[in-house]
Amino acid sequence: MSSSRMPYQCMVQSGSMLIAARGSTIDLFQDGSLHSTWKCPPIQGAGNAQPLPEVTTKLAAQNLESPSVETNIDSASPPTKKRKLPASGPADEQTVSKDGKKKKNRSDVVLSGLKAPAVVALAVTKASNHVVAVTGEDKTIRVFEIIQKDGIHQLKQLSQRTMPKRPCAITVTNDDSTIISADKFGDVFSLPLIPLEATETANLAPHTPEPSTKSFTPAANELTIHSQRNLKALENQRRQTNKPTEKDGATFEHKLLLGHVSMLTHIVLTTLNGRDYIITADRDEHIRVSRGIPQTHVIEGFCLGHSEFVSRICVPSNRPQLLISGGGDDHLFLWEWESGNMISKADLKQFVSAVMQEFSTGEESETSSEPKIAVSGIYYTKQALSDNLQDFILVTCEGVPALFTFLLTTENRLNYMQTVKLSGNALAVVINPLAGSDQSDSSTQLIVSVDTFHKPGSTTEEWKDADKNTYPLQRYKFQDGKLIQEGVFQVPTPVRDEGDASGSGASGRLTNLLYSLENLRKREGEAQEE
Amino acid sequence: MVGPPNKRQKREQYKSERGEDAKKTQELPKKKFYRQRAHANPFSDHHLVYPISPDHMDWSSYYPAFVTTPEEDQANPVTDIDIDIGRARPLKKNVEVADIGCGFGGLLVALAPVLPDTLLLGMEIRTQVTEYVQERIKALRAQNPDTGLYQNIGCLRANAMKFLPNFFKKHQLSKIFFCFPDPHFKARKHKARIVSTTLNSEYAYVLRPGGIIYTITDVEDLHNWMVSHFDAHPSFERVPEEEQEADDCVKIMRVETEEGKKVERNKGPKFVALFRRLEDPPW
Repeated sequence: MSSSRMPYQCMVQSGSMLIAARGSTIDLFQDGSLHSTWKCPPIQGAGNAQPLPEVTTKLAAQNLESPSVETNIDSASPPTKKRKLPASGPADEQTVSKDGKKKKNRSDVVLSGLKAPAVVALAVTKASNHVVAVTGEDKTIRVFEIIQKDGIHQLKQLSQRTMPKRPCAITVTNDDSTIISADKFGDVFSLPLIPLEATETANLAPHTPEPSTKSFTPAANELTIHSQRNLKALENQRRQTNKPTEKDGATFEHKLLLGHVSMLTHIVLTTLNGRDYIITADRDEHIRVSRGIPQTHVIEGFCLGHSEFVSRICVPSNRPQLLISGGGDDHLFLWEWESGNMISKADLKQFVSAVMQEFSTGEESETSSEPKIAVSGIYYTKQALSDNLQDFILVTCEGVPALFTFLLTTENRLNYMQTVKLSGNALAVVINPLAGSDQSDSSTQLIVSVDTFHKPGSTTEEWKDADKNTYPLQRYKFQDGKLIQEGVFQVPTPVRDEGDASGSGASGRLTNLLYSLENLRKREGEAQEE
Repeated sequence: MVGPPNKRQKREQYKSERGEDAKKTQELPKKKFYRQRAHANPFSDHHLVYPISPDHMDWSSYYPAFVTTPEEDQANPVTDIDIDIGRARPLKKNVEVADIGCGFGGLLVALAPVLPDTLLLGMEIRTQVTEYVQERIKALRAQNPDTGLYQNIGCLRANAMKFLPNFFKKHQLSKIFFCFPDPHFKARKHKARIVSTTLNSEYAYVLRPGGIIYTITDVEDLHNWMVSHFDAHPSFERVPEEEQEADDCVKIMRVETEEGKKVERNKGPKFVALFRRLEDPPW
């Protein structure tokens, strides 16, 4: 299988560099050329935990030949112990079919089907010398330094810290000192970018004021229990001498800043009138505005109006009093977030429907007539339009091969401007990357990552007859308010086969990695606990 | 767990008879037809109905005696924006007291005559139990048509851990009660406790400065947990014991809640702690 099929799921820009994550690897580009690749090592013992796609010796050999610069990790590369014999083919299929059945289980959604944990979020420091990445399956936050060696930029991992729950969104504070991580369980933690020495952290008391009991005594007693069965259970507990071992919390310094009782989807740090704020969005339709560090326990307000999950929020840097949010609703919402007032809504559905019409075949239209919207990206950029600088908003949706642009007017409305059709589903966008080097004109460039693995318009179907010329990274640029294609990004197509992305069932698991937002939608008939 | 079929049948029969017979609505409902497993998972989605925002909440069916009259409505007409957003008509008063996890409603019913000019709301996650409290309030109102008693209490089904800000605006409440909350004994389940560092920030948001949080439990470990978490939260301070014992609500909370009575019968201990919401620090 061709290697270029593995798409880039997230990207960030750091100075003149583009940092893009593809499965469990991170590529570093400068001036349009690939400088280096960092590979995430596989989880220890993970092979037993999750069904792996077939691993062939040929692939293992390729892995060693791969042009990975970070060789220190490669040397400890996976001893392909879990190699499956050809005879186990049918068994493999069984696991896959089981997977299919287990789809309903939300925890399975995490599995990307890759050998090593996949990168699910990226962030960079303002000073552009550090990159923070989250790898999903192992819930780990990794900090890298961008170093230069023989004129080649590389990522050097400085630290890895495993969080108590899987981080969903990360960001770095303005002073570059602290990482803010929002997780699946609804908690927001702060961690120093550069962790202290292990010996120092050992002395640091954990922030959470949980009273820790040394010896185990049941919290219940005869007086607090009102049923015979529970009384028996209590007697049994008392007889038990060995305390049930509680999981140790993280050993590194981290502080709990705030929390929702819901899965967090996005976090934004912003400053208005000299005050810092943390804005968090969750699966239960909430957008919460809290004070910034160190007063994060004070909730200033909520922006309430969504009736489905909120997946992305964006504060335009030029107009920091505004916030644009999107999620599972048919509309984009525009807020004055400090007061929590909704100012306007903009329909998104008609434009998504127009794009998706093309892809709905006869049989599909019978089953699912209307496309469901899951906003996967909201980006802000300032562009010249008829000699004036105007505020533009770019929106992408899960499984939709298009970019939608809106004009943010001075009357605080979002006016639809343009639909730019892409050759594959939009995955990630970076605005104005690699600026400065060879830019004679001041027009803004965009790098768009498109899905080269799934069919355009589908989040599940594999794109078997993909055009070889469909590159995962494509260049666009703004010209008088219009986005026009400028060509593809020169991604070298090394024979750095992910391998993992191929094979039966891989499509489903890759769907989990690339299109996880639609799963946030609440389902009818779920949890009928009555 | 669903009971045996005949139990369910009896329950349904009882409820339909109650609905048909006008006389029966004056009778207090029988608890045995509304029992439900004492625990609910606060993290699951359930089939919850909640307003998009406090402005969207229509309280009129919960507090019919406090609905504004047409004349008052005219003085404050509905604007186009209200209609566009789907804003509901506010009542004459806002709800000011919340009993979170109100159970069978003992505290609400006991507080109703003590705080006659204040709207009290019970929030309960279990459907059957909510229904019981609603029937109970209906019956009590029918029994007291002239005095207007019990018009100031209401009950709805809600997951307060997730959706409190959907019901209440910033600083709307003056009192919040947590009476005999689920202790969630296992350490693994502590995250499901109603009091936690992060949830306390939400309680501080809906509670006005000076407002009081009331907690009572028969589980000492949970009491210590609640005290340590509120003490650690910068928005709250513990109310001193003399002041606590002088509060009428504390006396009622001790003896009138259903769980309180049960503990009384068992001669068990009761642990009470009150916390005052402080002003937000300047920034």
